[in-house]
Amino acid sequence: MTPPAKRFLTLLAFISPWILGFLGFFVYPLLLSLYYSFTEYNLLQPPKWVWLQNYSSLIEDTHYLNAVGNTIYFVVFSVPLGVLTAFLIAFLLNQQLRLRVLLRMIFYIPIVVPISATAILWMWIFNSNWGLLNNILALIGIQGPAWLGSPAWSKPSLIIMQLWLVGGSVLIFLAALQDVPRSLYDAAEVDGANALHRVWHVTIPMVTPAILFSLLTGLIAAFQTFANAWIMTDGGPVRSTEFYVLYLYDHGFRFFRMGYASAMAWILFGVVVVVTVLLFRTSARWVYYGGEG
Amino acid sequence: MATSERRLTRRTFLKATGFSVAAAALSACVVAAPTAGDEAAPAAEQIELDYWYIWGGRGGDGQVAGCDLFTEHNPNITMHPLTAGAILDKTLAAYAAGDPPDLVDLILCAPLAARGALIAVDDYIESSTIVDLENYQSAHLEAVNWAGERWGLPANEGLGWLGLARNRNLVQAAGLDEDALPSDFEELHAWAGALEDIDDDGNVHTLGMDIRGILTYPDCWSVVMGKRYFDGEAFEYNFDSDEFAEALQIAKSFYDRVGAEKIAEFKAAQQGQAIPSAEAAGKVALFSGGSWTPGSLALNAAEGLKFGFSFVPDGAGEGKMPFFAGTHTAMILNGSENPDAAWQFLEFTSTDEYNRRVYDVSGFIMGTKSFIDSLDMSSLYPGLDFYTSGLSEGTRVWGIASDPNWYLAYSEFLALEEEVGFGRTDPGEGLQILQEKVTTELAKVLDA
Repeated sequence: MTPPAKRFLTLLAFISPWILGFLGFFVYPLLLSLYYSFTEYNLLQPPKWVWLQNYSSLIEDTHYLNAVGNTIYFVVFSVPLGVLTAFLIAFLLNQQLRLRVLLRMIFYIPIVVPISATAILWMWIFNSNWGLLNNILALIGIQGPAWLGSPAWSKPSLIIMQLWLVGGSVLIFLAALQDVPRSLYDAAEVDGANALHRVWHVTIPMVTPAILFSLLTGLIAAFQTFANAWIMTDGGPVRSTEFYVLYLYDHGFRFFRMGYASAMAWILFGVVVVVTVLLFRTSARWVYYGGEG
Repeated sequence: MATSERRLTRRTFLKATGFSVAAAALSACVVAAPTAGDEAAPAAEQIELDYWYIWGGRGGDGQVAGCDLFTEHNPNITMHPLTAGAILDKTLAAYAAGDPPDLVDLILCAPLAARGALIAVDDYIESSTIVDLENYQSAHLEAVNWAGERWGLPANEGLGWLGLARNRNLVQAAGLDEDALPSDFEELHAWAGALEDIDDDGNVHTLGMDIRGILTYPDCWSVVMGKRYFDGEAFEYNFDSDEFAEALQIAKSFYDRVGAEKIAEFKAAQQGQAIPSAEAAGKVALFSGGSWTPGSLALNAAEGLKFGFSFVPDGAGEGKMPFFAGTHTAMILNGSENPDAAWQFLEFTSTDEYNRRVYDVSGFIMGTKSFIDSLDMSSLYPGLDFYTSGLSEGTRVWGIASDPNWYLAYSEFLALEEEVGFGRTDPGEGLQILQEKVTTELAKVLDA
């Protein structure tokens, strides 16, 4: 055996636990779900091959299309808003503030609180009759909406709640901001750039890798949003928060339609892959990695 | 520099790992030497049973206590009770993976029985000297039926699941007569109007009647309207009937009182909680609730609040007292390695001794006739006696539909009720779509 081959086998031996886990717990279920997506399968009886019937039924399923619309709405608004909010908070926390460390901790705390506790807290905040939010709005003469009770406001409510959970992205932006060389700001100042110019022409280009990362992870998470709607609204009112994965879960594990749910899962997988590839493709134009010419 | 130190090379590390694994494998193959005890008294075969249920907390403690009692009587059977939270999805996943529990507690048997996942227990019942079907409420037994066979036994929380709860403080403050409770939905509207408190900005300080809650179950509307949503003998759904269209109109009329958004918001505020917090806080005057409601209110309601319970009005106009007798059922999964032992446990759940132990620990009441007779009614939570006596005093007492698509029917009906309440869907059209959907799913079940 040649030394490179030996080295390769040794390497393989060391990473084999991970490879086995990956094959057994990821690749195998993934391929199995692809097979199930072409079958009528209720998890209790053997699957029955139905070709593309699940996929064609999805096109005619108005509740499925409603779930798709809800999810796109959530992705389009929650992801950019989340990235912007995280950047602004990180930017503020990067200034020479008193109690800076305490503030950083406070913004991170919501991440470590279980989602069920966060959800119940926000259900109280959003209550239109006795909730904190409408009481504050009433102080400035605004009659707040019914939030979670209103089909028009239920999705914005969940998006607002999602902003509460940007602590992870804040940390990433903070690290990126602290990595921006001081010399670049000095040079910009010498060239006559004011504070806004420095942010626009120095800070933002230098943190674009962090923006790309936050956008990517945010998009993937938003497409799969589940727990908040499951706990807070169960898809209501009038299916206005019935998101894609919630609909998928119901069909797979409550309505005995795993084949149908698998078809949904593969469509979602395809969409996420396409969006991710597109984002990566365009990133060459707007993401700047330090050291590039 | 010459040295006698031995370095840990990659080769020696791999060798050592290989030897260790081989040694461990060999040692596992060694037959244990017999002990003196083995020779003296051969141990009885020890059987292990997995039993899954939904409850955590005190409810789960009650199940564990019941299992312990069973093992005291049957030392050769070790129970492994497990609270599984979202019980249905875990059971389905375990079954699909080929490793189901021996026993599971779900609301009804039909969804699993119709898909071949359960063992029929009719032969066991027939040969049992312990199980007496006459001791069960006949309505509770509906939950174990599918296609003319029985697939389990009512085992937990089998009592009444539908009552009209009233906040007595609010009722008395409004000057309403508790001896003349609403007997139809028009009177219920009148009561709701007298009890609700809405300010000029539309904020609901007190909701007169919350039409959501347990009443939303299609089973509950079935008994209230006098029309079963599913006929388990003819295998037919009746959602496209006038009775269900009327049920949705009744529900909508209560949405319209305060606005659909307010009703939806009250529902959102109670999402995932055993008893709606608004009710416990005294913000809702009338609401529907099950046998768990009196105890939950006694433990959680604001101090000084008192609640009363009565029958929901008869929507069929026949002057009857409708009562939905819900229950949980324990069943044996196909694939259990010890179905006979699992049956022994099922059998044991029918005894007063088991139900007493579960009740003492968790407060769960199983509505077998002998066990209800053994209860000291004066020691129960205030109002709970309505749910025990309702089983015999109700004049239309129905159980859970033996519907293989029960979860789908429940979920879709609940969503439809909300859509109608918001004026987004016409009741007739919505029910027709629902009827077609569940009928299509039923055909798949029957074909399989």
